[in-house]
Amino acid sequence: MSDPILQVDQLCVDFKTKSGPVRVLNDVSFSLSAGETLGIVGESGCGKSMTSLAVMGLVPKPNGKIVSGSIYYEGEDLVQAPEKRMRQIRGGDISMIFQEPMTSLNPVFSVGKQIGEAVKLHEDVSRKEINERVIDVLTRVGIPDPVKRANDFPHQMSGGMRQRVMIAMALVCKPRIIIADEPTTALDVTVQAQILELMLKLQEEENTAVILISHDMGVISQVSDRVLVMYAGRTIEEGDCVSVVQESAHPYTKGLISCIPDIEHTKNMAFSDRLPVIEGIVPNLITIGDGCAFAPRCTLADDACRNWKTGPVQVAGTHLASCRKIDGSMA
Amino acid sequence: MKPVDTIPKPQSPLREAVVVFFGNWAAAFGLLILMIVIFGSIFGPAIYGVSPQETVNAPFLGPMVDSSSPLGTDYIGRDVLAGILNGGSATIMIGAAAALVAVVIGITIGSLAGYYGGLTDTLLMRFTEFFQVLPALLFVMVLMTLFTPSIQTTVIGIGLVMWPPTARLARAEFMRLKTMDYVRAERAMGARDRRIIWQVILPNAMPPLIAAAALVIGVSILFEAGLSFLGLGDPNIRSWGEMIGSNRDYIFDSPWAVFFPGIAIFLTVLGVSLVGDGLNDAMNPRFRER
Amino acid sequence: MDTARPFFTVVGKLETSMKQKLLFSIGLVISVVILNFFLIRLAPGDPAITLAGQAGGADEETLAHIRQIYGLDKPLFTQFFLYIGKMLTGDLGTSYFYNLPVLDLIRERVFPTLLLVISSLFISVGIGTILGVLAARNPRGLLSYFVTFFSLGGYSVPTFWLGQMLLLAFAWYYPIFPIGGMQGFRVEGFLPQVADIAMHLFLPALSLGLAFMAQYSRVARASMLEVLGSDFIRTARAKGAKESSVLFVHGLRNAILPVITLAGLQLGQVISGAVLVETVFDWPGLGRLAVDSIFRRDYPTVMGILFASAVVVVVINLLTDVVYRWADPRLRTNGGH
Repeated sequence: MSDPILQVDQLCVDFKTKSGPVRVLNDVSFSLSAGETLGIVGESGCGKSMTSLAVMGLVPKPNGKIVSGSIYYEGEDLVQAPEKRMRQIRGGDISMIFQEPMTSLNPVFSVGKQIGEAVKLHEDVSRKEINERVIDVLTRVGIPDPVKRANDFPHQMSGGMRQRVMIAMALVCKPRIIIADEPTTALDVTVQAQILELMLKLQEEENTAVILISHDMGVISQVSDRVLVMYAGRTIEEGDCVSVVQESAHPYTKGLISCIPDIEHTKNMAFSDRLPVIEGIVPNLITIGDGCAFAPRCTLADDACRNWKTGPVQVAGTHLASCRKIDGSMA
Repeated sequence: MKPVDTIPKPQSPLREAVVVFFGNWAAAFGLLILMIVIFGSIFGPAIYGVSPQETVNAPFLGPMVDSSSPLGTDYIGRDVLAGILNGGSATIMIGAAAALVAVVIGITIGSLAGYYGGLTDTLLMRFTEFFQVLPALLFVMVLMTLFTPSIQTTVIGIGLVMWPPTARLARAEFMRLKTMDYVRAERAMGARDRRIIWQVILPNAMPPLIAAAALVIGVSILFEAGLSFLGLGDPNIRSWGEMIGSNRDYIFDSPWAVFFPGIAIFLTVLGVSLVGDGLNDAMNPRFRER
Repeated sequence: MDTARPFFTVVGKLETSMKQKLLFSIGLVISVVILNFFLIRLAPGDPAITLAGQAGGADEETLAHIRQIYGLDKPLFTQFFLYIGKMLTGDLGTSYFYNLPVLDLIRERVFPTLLLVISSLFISVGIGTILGVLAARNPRGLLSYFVTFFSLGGYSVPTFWLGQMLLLAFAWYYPIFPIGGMQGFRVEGFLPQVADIAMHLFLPALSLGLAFMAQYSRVARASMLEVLGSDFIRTARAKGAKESSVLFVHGLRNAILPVITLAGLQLGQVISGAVLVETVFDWPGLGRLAVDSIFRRDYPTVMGILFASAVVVVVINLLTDVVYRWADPRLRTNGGH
C-alpha cells in the first residue's frame, strides 16, 4: 500500500447556531491512499457530507468554520491553503459528485458547456481541444451519441444520464481523488447499479482514489476497499472493508451490519419477529457533551463510557475503533 | 412561523396579526407617517387658518423668507403650506375611493373566475390581461376627456384601471380556498353558490386582500396626482398633484411650490406602502420574504 | 404597489407557446380598436362633434363630412365594419386641429417615445438587476438594506415630480444636462447628433426608469438569493469556478428571469409614465402629443395614440417574450431537438 495522498487529522468544524456554536465534526481523522476506495458510512446528519465539504474547502461560509485540525493532500495542508490554491484543487485535483443530479446542473447552460468549463478552469487548452475532451469523456461515461448530447440542456436528460454527466464533469481533468456523496441515492435501483459499476471501471482505468459516502451499508460493503464509520460528527471505526464488516469492533457498527436485511434470515422469521434495529435516536449535537456519543444507546455502555473522551483503539493491524469495551483493550 | 395551509378559522387571527404588524418597525413607522398626514389634513387647515386659494402674500416668496408663509408662496401669492394642508384631504380621499372601486371590481371578477374556473375563468382572465396591458394613464385620460372631469369621473376612471392585480389575487385565493373542507360542507348542505362566495369564502380571503388594497391606495394616489398634474382632474379641487402642475411653468422661479407638494405625496404614499407591506407580512405568512 | 409578490406565483407559468402569444397579441390590439369604437359612442353628446374636436366649434359642412365617412347615420354594425376597415387600411382618422391624418402625426412621434421607453427599460432592468445581485451577495450588508429602502421609497415617488427635481438639480442649479426637448439647434454631423440626443435623453430616461429600477432591484435580490441556494451553484464552486463567475455567470443568468418577466408585464405602466415624463421634459413623443391633443379636444388623435400605444406595448411584450425564451432554455425546446 502506498503512502496516503489524503490525510485528515483531528479535524474540527463548528457551526454557528442560535443556541451557540455546534461542533458538527469532532476530531475526525482518516487517511486515503492512491487508487483506493474509501467508503464513509453513517446515518443522516453524522457529518459525512460535511467532512467532504471540508476537504473541498466548501464549508458553508457565514456559519461554518474549520476550527482546528489539518487536511494533508500530498503533503500540503488544505486548511491553511489560500482560496486561490483551493480553486485550483477543486475540480482539478479533487473533484466531487453530489447527490441530486436533477438539480446539480445549471439549467440554462448546455451540458457540454458545463463540462468544458471544468477543463477551461484548470488547463490552458484551445477551444477545439476542450470540445474533443468533452466528447471523449461523455463517451467514457457511456452517454450515447455524445456529439449531439453535448449540446443538450439538463432538462432534456433523465436522472441517470445527468448523473453520468456529473461524473464526466468530475473526471474530465483527471483528478487524483473523487468524492462521491450519495451518488446513487436519488436514482432508480437499476440505474444505481449501472452508475456504481461505471465509477469502479473508471477508477480502475485512471487509478483515482474514491471516497464514497453513503448511508447504505450494503453499497459501501460491496464497493469499498476500506471503510470509515461515522456517528454524531465523530469517526468511530476505520479499517479495511472485510474487517469492519465481518469483524466489526464498535457496537454501533455491529448494529449497522445487523440491520442489513439478509434474505436467508428473513425467510426463517416468524410473523411476530421484528427486524433488528438500533434502539434510540441520534443525539442532539448541541447537548452532547464530551463523552462517548453512542453511550446512551449502547447496550455495553457503563458510566465510565459516558465520561470517556473517545480516541481510536487498535483492534488489529490497521483496524481502529473508538470504544473502550473492545476485547483485549483497557482504555 | 405559522405552518403554511393551516385551515383558517372564520375569525381571522387578529391578535397575531397585530403583534407581527407592530413588531415590524417599518410598518409602525409608516403608520406614524400616515397618522401625521391624516391629522394634518383634517385639523391642519383649521389650525393654520390661511386660505389656499387666495392671494395672501407677495408671489415667489421663498420658504421662511416671510414667517407668515413658512413654506413660501407660488406665482400668484398663494400660500404653499395652506395648499398642502388643504390638498391632503382631496388627494387621499380620491385615492382611497378609487382604490375602493378597484378592489370591489377586482374581488368580484377574481372571485367569480377563481370559484367557477373553466371557461368563465379563461374569459375573465383574458379580460383582466387586456386591462393590464392597456396603458392605464392614457386610457383614463381618454375617459376624462370624453366625459367631463369631476371627482366622480376621476374615481371611476382610476378604479377601472387599478383592478387587475386585485382580481388576480382574489382569484388565487378563491382557487385555494374553494377546496377547503368547510366549503365542501356548505355545498353538501345545499348552500347556493352566491352564499358560498360572499359569506363563506370571502371573509377568509380578506386578509391578503386587505393588504393588497392598502397598496392599491398608494398607487391610486400617485395616479390621481399624475392626472391632476396634467390638468385633467376636477378643476375645482386643489390636490397636491394639481399644485405641482399649475406651478410647472414657474419651477425655476419658485421651486419650493413644486418641491413641497411632491414631498407630501411621497410621504403619504410611502406611509401607505409601508403599512400595506406590514399588513401583507402580518396576514400572509406565505409571502414572507427572508 | 408591490405587485412583485403575487407575480412570483404567476412568473412560473409563462409557458404558452409563441403561436398562442401572437394570437393573443392580435386579439389585444383588436380589443383596443373595439374599445375605441364604443368609447366615442358612449360619450355624452353627438359623436360627430366629438370626432370633430375643436371644442365643438366645427361647422355644419365638416360635421356632415364626418357623418359621412364614419357612417354615423347607419346601423351600428355597419359603422363597426366601416371602422375596422379603416383601421386595417391604416386610416386612423384625421386630426381636425392639424388637418393631417392621425397616422402621419403618430409616425412622426413614435421614434422619440420608443427611444425614451427602451432606454428607461435598459436603465431600470440593467441597474436594478446589478443592484439586486450585489445586494444578494451579502444579505445582511449595507447594500442589501439600501435595496430594501430604495425599493419602497423609489416606488412611492411621483414620476413627474422626480423628473422636475432632476431638472432642477442637474439642468438648472448644476447645468450639466439641457432643460428640455430632444435635440439642440444647429447640431451637425451624425455622431454629434447622437451625443446631443443622448444628453437630452438621460434625465427623462432616468426619471422614467427610477421607480421601476427600485422594484427590479428588490425582485433581483430575492431571486438571486434563491438561486444562490441552489445545488448547481454548489457544483460550480466545486468545479473551482471563481466567485465572480459563480455570481455573474451561473447565478445571474438564472436570477434575471423573473425580472425580465416582470418587466414585460409592466410595459403599460411604463408607457403611462412616459406620458408624464414627456410633458415635464418637453419630449416630442406620443405622450406629449396625447396631452396636447386632449386639451385641443382633438379626439381622433387621442384615440389614435391609445391604439398606437397598445400596439407598442404588444410589440415590446412579444420581444420580451422572445428574449425570455432565449434566456431560459427550458422553454425553448419541447422535448429534444
